[in-house]
Amino acid sequence: MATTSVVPANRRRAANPAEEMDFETTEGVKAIASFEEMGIKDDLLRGIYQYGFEKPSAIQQRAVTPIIQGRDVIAQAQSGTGKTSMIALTVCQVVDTSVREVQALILSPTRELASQTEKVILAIGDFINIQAHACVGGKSVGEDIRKLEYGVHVVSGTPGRVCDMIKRRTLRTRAIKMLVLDESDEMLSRGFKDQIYDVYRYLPPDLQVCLISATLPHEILEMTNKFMTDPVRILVKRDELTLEGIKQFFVAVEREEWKFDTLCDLYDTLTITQAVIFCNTKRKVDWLTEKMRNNNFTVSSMHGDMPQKERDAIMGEFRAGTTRVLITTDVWARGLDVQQVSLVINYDLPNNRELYIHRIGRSGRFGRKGVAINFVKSDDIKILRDIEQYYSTQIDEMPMNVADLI
Amino acid sequence: MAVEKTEQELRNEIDELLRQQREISERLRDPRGLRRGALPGPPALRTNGVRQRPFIRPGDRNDSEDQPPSKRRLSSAVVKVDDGDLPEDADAGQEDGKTKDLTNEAVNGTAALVQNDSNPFNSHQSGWSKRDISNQKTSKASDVPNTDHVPRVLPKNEDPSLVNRNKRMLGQLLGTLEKFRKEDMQLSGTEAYMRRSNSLQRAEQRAREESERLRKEEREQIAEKRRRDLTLRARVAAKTEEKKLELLFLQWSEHRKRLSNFIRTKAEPPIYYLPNKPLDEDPTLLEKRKEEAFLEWKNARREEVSEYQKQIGEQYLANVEKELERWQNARNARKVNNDQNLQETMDKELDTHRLEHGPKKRKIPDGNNNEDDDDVEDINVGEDDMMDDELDDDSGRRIDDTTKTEAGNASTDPVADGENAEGK
Repeated sequence: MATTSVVPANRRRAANPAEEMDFETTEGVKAIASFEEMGIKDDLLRGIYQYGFEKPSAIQQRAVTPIIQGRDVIAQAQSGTGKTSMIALTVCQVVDTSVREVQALILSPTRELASQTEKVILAIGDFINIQAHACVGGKSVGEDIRKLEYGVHVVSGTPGRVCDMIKRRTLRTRAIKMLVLDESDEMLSRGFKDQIYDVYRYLPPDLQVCLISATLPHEILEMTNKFMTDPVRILVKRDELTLEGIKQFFVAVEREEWKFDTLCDLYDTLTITQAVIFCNTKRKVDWLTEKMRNNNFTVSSMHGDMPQKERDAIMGEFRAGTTRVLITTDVWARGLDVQQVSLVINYDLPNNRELYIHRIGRSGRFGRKGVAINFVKSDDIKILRDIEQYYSTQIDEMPMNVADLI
Repeated sequence: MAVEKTEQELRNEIDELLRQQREISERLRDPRGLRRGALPGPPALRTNGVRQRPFIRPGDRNDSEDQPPSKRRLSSAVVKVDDGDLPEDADAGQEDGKTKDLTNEAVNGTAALVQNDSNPFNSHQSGWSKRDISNQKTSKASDVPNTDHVPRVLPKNEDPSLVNRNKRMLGQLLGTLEKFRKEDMQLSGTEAYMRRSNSLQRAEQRAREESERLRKEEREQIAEKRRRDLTLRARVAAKTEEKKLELLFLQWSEHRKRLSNFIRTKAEPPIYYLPNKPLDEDPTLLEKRKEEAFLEWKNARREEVSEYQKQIGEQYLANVEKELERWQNARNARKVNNDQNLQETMDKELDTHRLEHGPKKRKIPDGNNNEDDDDVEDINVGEDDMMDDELDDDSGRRIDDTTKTEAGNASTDPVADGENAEGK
């Protein structure tokens, strides 16, 4: 079901020979076309079908088998193509539910993503009586202690809270045999690396490590030699990373202050389905939200400085479709799955190329259509063209006077 | 010697009981053990972790710290200073609320790298602080556009082919969204989609119910544990009081035993005295009668002490019931608040701690009362000692007076004096 883009020959760049030789999909990785053939246990198969899956996606076909065989795995796949459910599936297959100890640990960069992963694990593992807990900051420590002392098979968390629970001896690590780093290029980036190391050194030495992400820059892949043993690599070339179902546009607004007017022109378009608007700073999210509301537009917003209860409420409303336009920072850029989102607006261009893939990947979930619109100032044009070239994709220009065309 | 040892034993027992009491009180103050800080990892575990499968050795760490700066430039060259005043990493780091100083430093490094990327000709070695200030100014200027609004310069639709192209682009955009909407309505109706939604909802509900069940269980366990701890503490406190009374009784008995060597007048105030020459009574018989009187007194006092100890025990246990009731009421009040809040938070935990700590302070007056009782007991003992001293002095003076009288008699009656001499 995964949509792989077919790029015209004249757009395909010459591959970097060094990169290609160093990191490619491991030979011998086979695509297994059905869940039964993978050797999934019966009760888990029941959970998978109950979850609505009938056939494995491309990444699921390739990555599930080496993971359940106990190999270290690096798995890359386009946004919205079943990576989270692949994690849930393999974790449920690997843990022994008769042993009420933490056997698998999944680390994610954001609280919402860790909670989402927990829900998917509980859904897919319904019939094997899986016990999973989302161990994230901003929630009750008492809650974490109760759950962990009661005994769960899987912990899905953010590294800070997980490390705290380990140090308190509430989260016992002796039985952990699998570590999954979701959005692993982010987890191994400068901001998170030390926290990951803090957790990692408490884990057993014969640990299985799995890295999952839609983007895996070269320097991340180089780093993996230090803590992975002969990993199976399942990689996607960067010119195949963007999804064919997502149409990409940019509006040359020339000046920063004209972005807002353009956004107002597009508001009716935003609410055809559901839309996410990305800004680069929390302050700007607050500013834009306030300004939209002052102009009588209905929007909600979310960023890392908000209290957790507020974040949860906003997340719930947006998932349910109660609110249709969400203004946010890159806290929302990775992994979050709301299938009704069809439009992503980059009010600010992202700070790195990987984030571009993740942001526009909030639309076009699991084969659906989507639209991405980038607001570009005069001096940003070059950045956008660089992204276009890097990913061998096409970003068409929309004029600023969109309103005149309707 | 035996008496001293017994007294020492009693004191040791009292100290042990007080220690137990403190331990139980500590447990009551922190029922979930949430207040303790993060414990340091065991050295063995840390060493094993590092040795057997090092994530980054110290040397390696330095290398990896050095390498990313040069490589990151290749993959992040698109960054412009104007686009934001906070690197995305910082946002993610802060979001978890566990950012360390080192992480902050790393984030600053990233910011510096970002700036370097946008200015390839600037030296990496130039000061970061200066650049940061400049960056901050620039970011603030561009981050939130100033309110002076200049109308947009919209392109004029002069070229028909360009207008047609633009309409086509807009058509593609709107068409894609419309197509999405239709497909979504179709998909939302499929069995697979509904199964997935139901599956996730059920998972969420299961997690919530499990969470609530564990929370309820914990509350019950905490209540039961508190009852047991309060009861145990009350018993320990009562036993402590009993031992103290025992000690007091021992001292009292000793004092009484010394007094029984003397004869006491029936007139008030009572005066204890000893005849100059022994009475005609048989010494053995006298000793026996003294012993009997003392034992009779001791048994009577023993009964009184036992009765009083029993009352103390009952009083302590009664206090436990009252304290439990008060604690339960406070908890129920808190529960009402909890119903309004969907989830516990760290702040709520702190409030809980304060609420549970509150009743503790109310115990202090009781403690003072106990101390006052002890003081009163001590004062009584002091008074007894003072009376004893006074009696001794009086006895001394009386003896002297008797001697003087006899001397006087001798000097005035030669015949009596002679008789006395003969007697001697």
